[in-house]
Amino acid sequence: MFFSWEYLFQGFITALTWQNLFWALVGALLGTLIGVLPGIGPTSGIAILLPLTTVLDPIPAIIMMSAIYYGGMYGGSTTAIVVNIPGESASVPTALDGYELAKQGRAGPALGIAAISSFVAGTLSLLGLTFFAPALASVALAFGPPEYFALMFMGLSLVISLSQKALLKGLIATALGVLAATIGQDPLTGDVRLTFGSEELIAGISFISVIIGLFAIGEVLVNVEHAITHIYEHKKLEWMPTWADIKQCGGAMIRSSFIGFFLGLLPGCSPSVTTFVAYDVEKRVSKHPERFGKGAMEGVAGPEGANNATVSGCFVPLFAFGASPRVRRWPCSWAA
Amino acid sequence: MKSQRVGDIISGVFLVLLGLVVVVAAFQIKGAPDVRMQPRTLPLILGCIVGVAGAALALRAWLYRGPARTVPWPDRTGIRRVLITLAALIVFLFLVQPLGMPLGSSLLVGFLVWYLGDYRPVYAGLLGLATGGVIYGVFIRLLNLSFPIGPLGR
Repeated sequence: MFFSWEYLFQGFITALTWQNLFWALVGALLGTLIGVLPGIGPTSGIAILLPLTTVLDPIPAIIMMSAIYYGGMYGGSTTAIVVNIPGESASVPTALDGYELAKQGRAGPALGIAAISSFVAGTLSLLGLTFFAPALASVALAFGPPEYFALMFMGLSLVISLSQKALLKGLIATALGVLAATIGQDPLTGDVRLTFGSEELIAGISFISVIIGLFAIGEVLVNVEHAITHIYEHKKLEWMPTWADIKQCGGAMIRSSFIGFFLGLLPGCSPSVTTFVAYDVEKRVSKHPERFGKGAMEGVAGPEGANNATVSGCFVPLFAFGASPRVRRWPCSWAA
Repeated sequence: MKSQRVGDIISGVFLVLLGLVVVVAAFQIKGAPDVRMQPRTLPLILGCIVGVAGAALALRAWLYRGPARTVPWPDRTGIRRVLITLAALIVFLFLVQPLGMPLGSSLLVGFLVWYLGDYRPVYAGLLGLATGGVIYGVFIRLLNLSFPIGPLGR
């Protein structure tokens, strides 16, 4: 394995100039602003903000684009926690506990934990990317169709632990999700499926439309029926996570770093799957799994850490072979 | 439909019908002769799963003899508010193409703020206009997203 400390330090010297740090800050801010808009994820955020980077030299441009991506990733969690509207599929598990925390007046600490967990997992996975990229890339590319089938099967079977006692309803929801994903053109043969003559449905149903319909419209209608004028009806608002919160989530941050990074290595395994896996693992290892879904801080730290760690994992095959791992695998993201 | 039992039976029957529709629709997908995994296979399996799971849901609810679990449905006022909100969203969907996103959103937000929030019409109208202005400025001018723009684009 070829590795040179000299190149690594050169990289730090280049990246840590105040100009580059400034563009990183600008990118992260803009990325977060774009990321909070539901339906605009990190990838479309980069596409929208790409013209801004063309005026820069290549190095600050790459730094700014990475910052936009990470900012966009984090931004998706804001609406998930505050108003129960995940900006993208990867933020769905964050909303499960994040919004419950927000209803208890703990939106601030939840957002803080999301940021800290993103930072910890992002940094740990970057270390993995720096030191083990070539060795891991070959392992990742050895994954063939049977391994992918097993991975997707595992993703779908997470419904067993996520749906708890309502297993039958969980199975129905999973089947309906995959069924909705089959609407439109078949990716292999090009045949049109279940469109019932509608031209609009040939392109399929966008995942984000379903998220907005289920979460945003659902949330609006619940508030409307009870004439709720204030979303949070509580007395005390907290702004920052306490030391106890951070200590409670320490394990979740480390675990999610590993889960996100190693699953992110696999081409086609998107954050939509890794965040659900991280959430499920946290629930399993917790001494009080009954708290999950009712406002468990680890339920926010796990998915948010995995979210960011996946990004670094995705970079391994990209840098090693030029193969973008974020190939859209529809059953994977839909089932999640 | 106050109890969860009745709700589950109705949902189960609906899912059985949905599963049947999917199975029938799946058989109508032509497919290619030399492909091992035909495009109809997955919808067919899923249609069967939905139908059988729906039947199981309905049957389990039918046989349930435990204490009645009531579903907290909204009262008459709540149902009216939900239906009017849904109707406003449907009208918005039809208006968004001819009127454009900024004007359509202004009307939707203005109406819902006035109706649901019980605010004065002037205040609701101003809030609607402000929303339309933000959508026009941020999404259409700044981010260049391809939203329908209506008469503002002419």
